[in-house]
Amino acid sequence: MDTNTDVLKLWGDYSRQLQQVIQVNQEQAITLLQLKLSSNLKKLRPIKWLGVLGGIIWIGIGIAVLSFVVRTAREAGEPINYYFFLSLALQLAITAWGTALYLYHLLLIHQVQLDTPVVQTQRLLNQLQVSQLWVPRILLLQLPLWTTFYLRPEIIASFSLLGWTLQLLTMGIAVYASWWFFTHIRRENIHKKWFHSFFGTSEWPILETASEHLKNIEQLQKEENGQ
Amino acid sequence: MEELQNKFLTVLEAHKGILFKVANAYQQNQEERSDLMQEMTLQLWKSFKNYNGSVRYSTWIYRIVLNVAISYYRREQTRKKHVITKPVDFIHYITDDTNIDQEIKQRMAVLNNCIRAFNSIDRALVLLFLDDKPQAEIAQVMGISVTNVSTRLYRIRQKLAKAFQHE
Repeated sequence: MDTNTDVLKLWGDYSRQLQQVIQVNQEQAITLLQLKLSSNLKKLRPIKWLGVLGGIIWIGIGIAVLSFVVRTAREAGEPINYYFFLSLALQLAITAWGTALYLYHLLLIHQVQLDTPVVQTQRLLNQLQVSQLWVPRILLLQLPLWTTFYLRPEIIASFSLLGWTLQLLTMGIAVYASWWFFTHIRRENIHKKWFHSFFGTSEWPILETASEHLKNIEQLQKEENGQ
Repeated sequence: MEELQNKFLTVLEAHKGILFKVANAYQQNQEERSDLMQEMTLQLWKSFKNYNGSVRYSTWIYRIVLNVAISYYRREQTRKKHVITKPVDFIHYITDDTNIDQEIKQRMAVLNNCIRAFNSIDRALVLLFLDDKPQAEIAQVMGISVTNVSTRLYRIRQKLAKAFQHE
Protein backbone atom coordinates (compact mmCIF):
# COMPACT_ATOMS: atom_id res chain seq x y z
CA MET A 1 0.00 0.00 0.00
CA ASP A 2 1.54 3.37 -0.95
CA THR A 3 2.00 5.97 1.77
CA ASN A 4 -0.82 8.24 0.63
CA THR A 5 -3.32 5.40 0.67
CA ASP A 6 -1.95 4.40 4.06
CA VAL A 7 -2.35 7.94 5.38
CA LEU A 8 -5.89 8.20 4.03
CA LYS A 9 -6.83 4.88 5.62
CA LEU A 10 -5.33 5.96 8.94
CA TRP A 11 -7.24 9.24 8.85
CA GLY A 12 -10.46 7.46 7.90
CA ASP A 13 -10.11 4.89 10.71
CA TYR A 14 -9.31 7.64 13.20
CA SER A 15 -12.25 9.79 12.04
CA ARG A 16 -14.71 6.93 12.40
CA GLN A 17 -13.53 6.08 15.90
CA LEU A 18 -13.37 9.74 16.86
CA GLN A 19 -17.00 10.29 15.89
CA GLN A 20 -17.97 7.64 18.45
CA VAL A 21 -15.94 8.93 21.35
CA ILE A 22 -16.41 12.70 21.19
CA GLN A 23 -19.52 14.66 21.92
CA VAL A 24 -20.50 18.31 21.94
CA ASN A 25 -20.87 19.50 25.49
CA GLN A 26 -24.56 20.35 25.12
CA GLU A 27 -24.79 22.34 28.32
CA GLN A 28 -21.90 24.60 27.35
CA ALA A 29 -23.17 24.83 23.79
CA ILE A 30 -26.56 26.11 24.88
CA THR A 31 -24.99 28.66 27.24
CA LEU A 32 -22.70 29.79 24.45
CA LEU A 33 -25.54 30.19 21.94
CA GLN A 34 -27.59 32.16 24.41
CA LEU A 35 -24.85 34.67 25.02
CA LYS A 36 -25.80 37.94 23.42
CA LEU A 37 -23.37 38.03 20.54
CA SER A 38 -21.40 41.14 21.37
CA SER A 39 -21.38 43.87 18.84
CA ASN A 40 -18.19 44.01 16.83
CA LEU A 41 -17.12 47.09 18.72
CA LYS A 42 -17.11 45.31 22.06
CA LYS A 43 -14.73 42.70 20.74
CA LEU A 44 -11.99 45.27 20.34
CA ARG A 45 -9.30 44.93 22.89
CA PRO A 46 -9.66 47.61 25.60
CA ILE A 47 -6.26 49.09 24.90
CA LYS A 48 -7.22 49.69 21.27
CA TRP A 49 -10.35 51.43 22.44
CA LEU A 50 -8.21 53.53 24.76
CA GLY A 51 -6.02 54.48 21.82
CA VAL A 52 -9.04 55.64 19.81
CA LEU A 53 -10.53 57.45 22.80
CA GLY A 54 -7.19 59.06 23.57
CA GLY A 55 -7.01 60.36 20.01
CA ILE A 56 -10.52 61.80 20.19
CA ILE A 57 -9.89 63.46 23.57
CA TRP A 58 -6.62 64.94 22.32
CA ILE A 59 -8.34 66.39 19.28
CA GLY A 60 -11.08 67.82 21.50
CA ILE A 61 -8.56 69.44 23.83
CA GLY A 62 -6.58 70.72 20.87
CA ILE A 63 -9.60 72.38 19.27
CA ALA A 64 -10.49 73.98 22.60
CA VAL A 65 -6.94 75.31 22.94
CA LEU A 66 -6.97 76.71 19.38
CA SER A 67 -10.28 78.47 20.04
CA PHE A 68 -8.88 79.88 23.28
CA VAL A 69 -5.76 81.14 21.50
CA VAL A 70 -7.79 82.90 18.80
CA ARG A 71 -10.26 84.41 21.28
CA THR A 72 -7.57 85.61 23.66
CA ALA A 73 -5.53 87.17 20.85
CA ARG A 74 -8.60 88.98 19.50
CA GLU A 75 -9.61 90.27 22.92
CA ALA A 76 -6.10 91.54 23.57
CA GLY A 77 -5.88 93.00 20.07
CA GLU A 78 -2.71 91.06 19.46
CA PRO A 79 -1.69 88.93 16.50
CA ILE A 80 -2.10 85.16 16.83
CA ASN A 81 1.09 83.23 17.31
CA TYR A 82 0.94 81.44 13.98
CA TYR A 83 3.79 79.07 14.82
CA PHE A 84 1.79 77.63 17.67
CA PHE A 85 -1.54 77.82 15.85
CA LEU A 86 -0.44 76.15 12.64
CA SER A 87 1.71 73.55 14.42
CA LEU A 88 -1.17 72.53 16.65
CA ALA A 89 -3.77 72.66 13.87
CA LEU A 90 -1.68 70.43 11.59
CA GLN A 91 -0.90 68.09 14.46
CA LEU A 92 -4.62 67.75 15.21
CA ALA A 93 -5.40 67.13 11.55
CA ILE A 94 -2.79 64.35 11.39
CA THR A 95 -4.04 62.81 14.64
CA ALA A 96 -7.63 62.90 13.36
CA TRP A 97 -6.60 61.24 10.10
CA GLY A 98 -4.65 58.51 11.89
CA THR A 99 -7.36 57.85 14.48
CA ALA A 100 -10.13 57.66 11.86
CA LEU A 101 -8.10 55.28 9.72
CA TYR A 102 -7.35 53.05 12.70
CA LEU A 103 -10.98 52.84 13.71
CA TYR A 104 -12.08 52.21 10.11
CA HIS A 105 -9.68 49.28 9.72
CA LEU A 106 -10.67 47.75 13.06
CA LEU A 107 -14.34 47.89 12.12
CA LEU A 108 -13.70 46.44 8.65
CA ILE A 109 -11.78 43.51 10.10
CA HIS A 110 -14.61 42.60 12.42
CA GLN A 111 -17.17 42.77 9.64
CA VAL A 112 -15.47 40.24 7.37
CA GLN A 113 -17.84 37.35 6.65
CA LEU A 114 -16.26 34.06 7.63
CA ASP A 115 -18.59 31.87 5.57
CA THR A 116 -17.00 33.07 2.32
CA PRO A 117 -14.26 31.02 0.63
CA VAL A 118 -11.07 30.72 2.66
CA VAL A 119 -8.60 32.34 0.27
CA GLN A 120 -10.74 35.44 -0.31
CA THR A 121 -11.52 35.85 3.40
CA GLN A 122 -7.93 35.40 4.50
CA ARG A 123 -6.63 37.75 1.83
CA LEU A 124 -8.99 40.48 3.00
CA LEU A 125 -8.38 39.89 6.72
CA ASN A 126 -4.62 39.84 6.38
CA GLN A 127 -4.53 42.81 4.00
CA LEU A 128 -6.55 44.81 6.52
CA GLN A 129 -4.24 43.72 9.30
CA VAL A 130 -1.11 44.75 7.44
CA SER A 131 -2.66 47.99 6.16
CA GLN A 132 -2.86 49.14 9.76
CA LEU A 133 0.80 50.00 9.24
CA TRP A 134 -0.52 53.19 7.61
CA VAL A 135 -1.58 54.46 11.04
CA PRO A 136 1.88 54.88 12.63
CA ARG A 137 3.23 56.08 9.25
CA ILE A 138 0.68 58.89 9.27
CA LEU A 139 0.91 59.71 12.97
CA LEU A 140 4.69 60.07 12.86
CA LEU A 141 4.41 62.74 10.15
CA GLN A 142 3.70 65.14 13.03
CA LEU A 143 7.21 64.87 14.51
CA PRO A 144 8.51 68.13 12.93
CA LEU A 145 5.52 70.03 14.37
CA TRP A 146 6.76 69.28 17.86
CA THR A 147 9.86 71.34 17.06
CA THR A 148 7.91 74.41 15.91
CA PHE A 149 4.90 74.86 18.17
CA TYR A 150 6.89 76.68 20.91
CA LEU A 151 8.40 79.26 18.52
CA ARG A 152 7.38 82.90 18.70
CA PRO A 153 8.47 85.85 16.55
CA GLU A 154 10.28 87.46 19.47
CA ILE A 155 12.14 84.20 20.26
CA ILE A 156 13.22 83.81 16.65
CA ALA A 157 14.32 87.44 16.52
CA SER A 158 16.55 86.91 19.52
CA PHE A 159 18.12 83.66 18.32
CA SER A 160 21.87 83.55 18.55
CA LEU A 161 23.94 81.46 16.21
CA LEU A 162 23.79 78.65 18.75
CA GLY A 163 20.04 79.04 19.01
CA TRP A 164 19.62 78.85 15.25
CA THR A 165 21.91 75.86 15.07
CA LEU A 166 20.02 73.99 17.74
CA GLN A 167 16.64 74.87 16.30
CA LEU A 168 17.55 73.87 12.75
CA LEU A 169 19.26 70.72 13.96
CA THR A 170 16.21 69.68 15.97
CA MET A 171 13.87 70.43 13.10
CA GLY A 172 16.14 68.62 10.67
CA ILE A 173 16.29 65.51 12.84
CA ALA A 174 12.51 65.54 13.28
CA VAL A 175 11.89 65.96 9.54
CA TYR A 176 14.36 63.20 8.68
CA ALA A 177 12.90 60.86 11.33
CA SER A 178 9.37 61.43 10.12
CA TRP A 179 10.42 60.87 6.49
CA TRP A 180 12.42 57.75 7.44
CA PHE A 181 9.55 56.17 9.36
CA PHE A 182 7.08 57.03 6.59
CA THR A 183 9.20 55.26 4.00
CA HIS A 184 10.34 52.34 6.17
CA ILE A 185 7.23 51.25 8.11
CA ARG A 186 6.23 48.84 5.39
CA ARG A 187 5.27 45.21 5.06
CA GLU A 188 8.65 44.40 3.51
CA ASN A 189 10.43 45.40 6.74
CA ILE A 190 8.25 43.45 9.14
CA HIS A 191 10.99 40.90 9.75
CA LYS A 192 13.63 43.43 10.74
CA LYS A 193 14.84 43.80 14.34
CA TRP A 194 14.10 47.54 14.59
CA PHE A 195 10.53 46.86 13.41
CA HIS A 196 10.09 44.27 16.13
CA SER A 197 11.44 46.70 18.77
CA PHE A 198 9.27 49.53 17.49
CA PHE A 199 6.00 47.60 17.50
CA GLY A 200 6.60 45.61 20.67
CA THR A 201 5.77 42.06 21.59
CA SER A 202 1.99 42.25 21.23
CA GLU A 203 1.52 43.80 17.77
CA TRP A 204 4.61 42.53 15.97
CA PRO A 205 3.78 38.77 15.97
CA ILE A 206 0.31 39.56 14.60
CA LEU A 207 1.77 41.71 11.81
CA GLU A 208 4.42 39.14 10.99
CA THR A 209 1.90 36.30 10.77
CA ALA A 210 -0.47 38.42 8.67
CA SER A 211 2.39 39.19 6.31
CA GLU A 212 3.32 35.48 6.05
CA HIS A 213 -0.25 34.52 5.32
CA LEU A 214 -0.48 37.18 2.63
CA LYS A 215 2.68 35.83 1.01
CA ASN A 216 1.19 32.32 0.88
CA ILE A 217 -2.09 33.62 -0.49
CA GLU A 218 -0.35 35.74 -3.11
CA GLN A 219 1.60 32.68 -4.21
CA LEU A 220 -1.65 30.75 -4.52
CA GLN A 221 -3.19 33.63 -6.46
CA LYS A 222 -0.20 33.72 -8.83
CA GLU A 223 -0.63 30.01 -9.52
CA GLU A 224 -4.34 30.59 -10.05
CA ASN A 225 -3.73 33.40 -12.55
CA GLY A 226 -0.94 31.55 -14.27
CA GLN A 227 -3.37 28.90 -15.49
CA MET B 1 -35.41 30.61 18.21
CA GLU B 2 -35.36 27.38 20.19
CA GLU B 3 -36.17 25.44 17.03
CA LEU B 4 -33.28 27.10 15.21
CA GLN B 5 -31.03 26.40 18.17
CA ASN B 6 -31.96 22.73 18.23
CA LYS B 7 -31.42 22.45 14.49
CA PHE B 8 -28.02 24.08 14.86
CA LEU B 9 -27.01 21.72 17.67
CA THR B 10 -28.04 18.75 15.55
CA VAL B 11 -25.88 19.97 12.68
CA LEU B 12 -23.02 20.66 15.08
CA GLU B 13 -23.24 17.18 16.62
CA ALA B 14 -23.25 15.59 13.16
CA HIS B 15 -20.14 17.51 12.11
CA LYS B 16 -18.33 17.76 15.45
CA GLY B 17 -15.43 15.77 14.03
CA ILE B 18 -14.62 18.59 11.60
CA LEU B 19 -14.28 21.13 14.42
CA PHE B 20 -12.19 18.74 16.50
CA LYS B 21 -9.81 17.76 13.71
CA VAL B 22 -9.34 21.30 12.39
CA ALA B 23 -8.77 22.68 15.90
CA ASN B 24 -6.28 19.90 16.57
CA ALA B 25 -4.39 20.68 13.36
CA TYR B 26 -4.08 24.39 14.16
CA GLN B 27 -3.62 24.39 17.94
CA GLN B 28 -1.50 21.90 19.82
CA ASN B 29 -2.22 23.37 23.24
CA GLN B 30 -5.40 21.92 24.78
CA GLU B 31 -6.67 25.16 26.29
CA GLU B 32 -6.13 27.07 23.03
CA ARG B 33 -7.85 24.25 21.16
CA SER B 34 -10.83 24.42 23.45
CA ASP B 35 -11.03 28.18 23.05
CA LEU B 36 -10.69 27.82 19.29
CA MET B 37 -13.59 25.32 19.17
CA GLN B 38 -15.74 27.72 21.17
CA GLU B 39 -14.91 30.51 18.73
CA MET B 40 -15.70 28.20 15.79
CA THR B 41 -19.07 27.37 17.31
CA LEU B 42 -19.89 31.02 17.92
CA GLN B 43 -19.04 31.94 14.34
CA LEU B 44 -21.02 28.98 13.00
CA TRP B 45 -24.03 30.04 15.07
CA LYS B 46 -23.65 33.64 13.91
CA SER B 47 -23.77 32.54 10.26
CA PHE B 48 -26.33 29.78 10.72
CA LYS B 49 -29.32 32.11 10.45
CA ASN B 50 -28.11 33.12 6.97
CA TYR B 51 -27.33 29.61 5.75
CA ASN B 52 -29.40 29.14 2.61
CA GLY B 53 -28.44 25.64 1.53
CA SER B 54 -26.58 26.83 -1.59
CA VAL B 55 -23.61 24.74 -0.45
CA ARG B 56 -23.54 21.54 1.54
CA TYR B 57 -23.32 21.78 5.33
CA SER B 58 -19.82 20.31 5.29
CA THR B 59 -18.62 22.94 2.79
CA TRP B 60 -20.19 25.75 4.81
CA ILE B 61 -18.76 24.42 8.08
CA TYR B 62 -15.30 23.90 6.63
CA ARG B 63 -15.18 27.48 5.31
CA ILE B 64 -16.04 28.97 8.67
CA VAL B 65 -13.94 26.73 10.91
CA LEU B 66 -10.90 27.02 8.64
CA ASN B 67 -11.25 30.81 8.51
CA VAL B 68 -11.53 30.93 12.29
CA ALA B 69 -8.56 28.58 12.77
CA ILE B 70 -6.30 30.41 10.30
CA SER B 71 -7.21 33.80 11.81
CA TYR B 72 -6.85 32.61 15.38
CA TYR B 73 -3.40 34.22 15.70
CA ARG B 74 -5.15 37.60 15.72
CA ARG B 75 -6.93 36.91 18.95
CA GLU B 76 -5.39 39.08 21.61
CA GLN B 77 -3.68 37.58 24.59
CA THR B 78 -6.01 39.57 26.81
CA ARG B 79 -9.06 38.47 24.83
CA LYS B 80 -12.40 38.88 26.46
CA LYS B 81 -13.41 35.59 28.03
CA HIS B 82 -16.90 34.34 27.43
CA VAL B 83 -19.09 33.19 30.29
CA ILE B 84 -17.69 29.69 29.89
CA THR B 85 -14.34 29.95 31.57
CA LYS B 86 -13.93 26.43 32.88
CA PRO B 87 -10.96 24.72 31.24
CA VAL B 88 -13.27 22.02 29.91
CA ASP B 89 -13.08 20.91 26.32
CA PHE B 90 -16.08 22.24 24.48
CA ILE B 91 -16.08 19.10 22.37
CA HIS B 92 -14.92 16.43 24.70
CA TYR B 93 -14.45 12.73 24.96
CA ILE B 94 -17.53 11.04 26.37
CA THR B 95 -15.44 8.14 27.39
CA ASP B 96 -11.71 8.58 27.66
CA ASP B 97 -9.84 8.28 24.40
CA THR B 98 -8.57 4.77 25.25
CA ASN B 99 -11.49 3.69 23.08
CA ILE B 100 -9.45 4.82 20.12
CA ASP B 101 -7.09 2.12 18.98
CA GLN B 102 -3.64 2.69 20.55
CA GLU B 103 -1.75 2.15 17.35
CA ILE B 104 -4.02 4.57 15.51
CA LYS B 105 -3.47 7.16 18.25
CA GLN B 106 0.31 6.83 18.03
CA ARG B 107 0.34 7.06 14.24
CA MET B 108 -2.09 10.00 14.36
CA ALA B 109 0.30 11.85 16.68
CA VAL B 110 2.96 11.45 13.99
CA LEU B 111 0.56 12.45 11.22
CA ASN B 112 -0.60 15.54 13.14
CA ASN B 113 3.01 16.69 13.47
CA CYS B 114 3.43 16.33 9.71
CA ILE B 115 0.21 18.29 9.12
CA ARG B 116 1.29 21.14 11.41
CA ALA B 117 4.49 21.55 9.41
CA PHE B 118 2.47 22.95 6.49
CA ASN B 119 1.67 26.67 6.30
CA SER B 120 -1.85 27.66 7.35
CA ILE B 121 -3.32 27.68 3.85
CA ASP B 122 -1.81 24.37 2.75
CA ARG B 123 -2.83 22.85 6.06
CA ALA B 124 -6.43 23.57 5.12
CA LEU B 125 -5.93 21.73 1.83
CA VAL B 126 -4.32 18.80 3.65
CA LEU B 127 -7.30 18.47 6.01
CA LEU B 128 -9.79 18.58 3.14
CA PHE B 129 -7.74 16.01 1.20
CA LEU B 130 -7.51 13.69 4.20
CA ASP B 131 -11.27 13.93 4.73
CA ASP B 132 -11.55 12.63 1.17
CA LYS B 133 -13.40 15.66 -0.11
CA PRO B 134 -13.83 15.78 -3.89
CA GLN B 135 -11.62 18.35 -5.57
CA ALA B 136 -14.67 20.34 -6.65
CA GLU B 137 -15.74 20.72 -3.02
CA ILE B 138 -12.20 21.62 -1.93
CA ALA B 139 -12.20 24.31 -4.63
CA GLN B 140 -15.53 25.62 -3.28
CA VAL B 141 -14.28 25.74 0.30
CA MET B 142 -11.00 27.40 -0.61
CA GLY B 143 -12.22 29.68 -3.40
CA ILE B 144 -9.65 28.53 -5.95
CA SER B 145 -9.99 26.64 -9.22
CA VAL B 146 -10.20 22.86 -9.40
CA THR B 147 -7.03 22.87 -11.52
CA ASN B 148 -5.19 24.79 -8.82
CA VAL B 149 -6.48 22.37 -6.18
CA SER B 150 -5.21 19.46 -8.24
CA THR B 151 -1.75 21.00 -8.71
CA ARG B 152 -1.42 21.96 -5.08
CA LEU B 153 -2.64 18.62 -3.81
CA TYR B 154 -0.15 16.78 -5.99
CA ARG B 155 2.70 18.64 -4.29
CA ILE B 156 1.12 18.37 -0.85
CA ARG B 157 0.58 14.61 -1.17
CA GLN B 158 4.24 14.11 -2.08
CA LYS B 159 5.42 16.27 0.81
CA LEU B 160 3.06 14.61 3.28
CA ALA B 161 4.06 11.09 2.21
CA LYS B 162 7.75 11.95 2.49
CA ALA B 163 7.30 13.55 5.94
CA PHE B 164 5.19 10.67 7.25
CA GLN B 165 7.65 8.07 6.05
CA HIS B 166 10.55 10.02 7.52
CA GLU B 167 8.89 10.26 10.94
